[in-house]
Amino acid sequence: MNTGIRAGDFLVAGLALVLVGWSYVHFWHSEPAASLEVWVDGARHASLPLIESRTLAIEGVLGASRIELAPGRARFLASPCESKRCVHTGWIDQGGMVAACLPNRVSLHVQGRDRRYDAINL
Amino acid sequence: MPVETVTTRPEDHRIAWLAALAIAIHVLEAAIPSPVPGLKPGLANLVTLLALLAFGWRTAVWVSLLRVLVGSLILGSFLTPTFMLSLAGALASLLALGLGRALGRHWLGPLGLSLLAALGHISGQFLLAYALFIPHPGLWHLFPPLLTAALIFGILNGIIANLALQGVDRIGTPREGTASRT
Repeated sequence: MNTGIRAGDFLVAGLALVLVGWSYVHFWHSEPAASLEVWVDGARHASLPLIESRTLAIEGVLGASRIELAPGRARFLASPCESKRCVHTGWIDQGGMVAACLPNRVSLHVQGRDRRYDAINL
Repeated sequence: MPVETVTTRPEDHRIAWLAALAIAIHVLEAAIPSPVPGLKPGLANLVTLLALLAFGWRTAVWVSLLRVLVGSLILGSFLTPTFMLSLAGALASLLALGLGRALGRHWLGPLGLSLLAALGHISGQFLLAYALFIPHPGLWHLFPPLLTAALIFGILNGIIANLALQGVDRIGTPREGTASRT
């Protein structure tokens, strides 16, 4: 019977280890934020590059949310909501990260460099 | 009154015994709490692997599929997503075992086969989960840790399979009559 450790076992184990390592690199990598999407009440409000620092006021359902853009990151500065969770979220700086103010229906989505373009966001 | 007798071969008895063992482990494993869906030691698959090594491919396929079917009937998950994921895992791991067996009958031992089966199992499950149930790219964040678990449990099960087979070798290979005596 095929008992004992054989050469092929080491080969398979080695390849499996490489596969596991690769899976972390491939599925867990995140890239620095390059652009920001602002959504208001379920619709895309603006799409902005994260190159220079500036602050903006976004008119939401409750009032104006003040947001800050900086090179590679963005955050809520102030919001008319009660809990201020959006402000406490702090800076979001990795592609795919989101900060949202649900009461005011304003959310920020940052994206990495290789984001997909579509008809609205060219 | 005519009595229908079903003649069974020793092989049928062997499959039934092994399947019963696999089903018992399957049900016991279902009771172990898991921090992440899909994270399991996969001890039930160990029976499939031992069946393959000791009795061949046909027995392994029977044992594996019977385990999934009857296990789901006992747990009440027949035809639910759990069952489908279970089936996808079993089929993928059988495929991996078949490939490993075909490619490396002489240079691949229980450890390598166990690893192939474990990795095939989780990959098959994951692909089905992504294709059918949660087609969201965020799901793939779960893949690396589950693959890591498959690596660890695959190696552990391979070691157990090795020990079990060495034990069988020491006692002597099972004779034809052994399984059907009871």
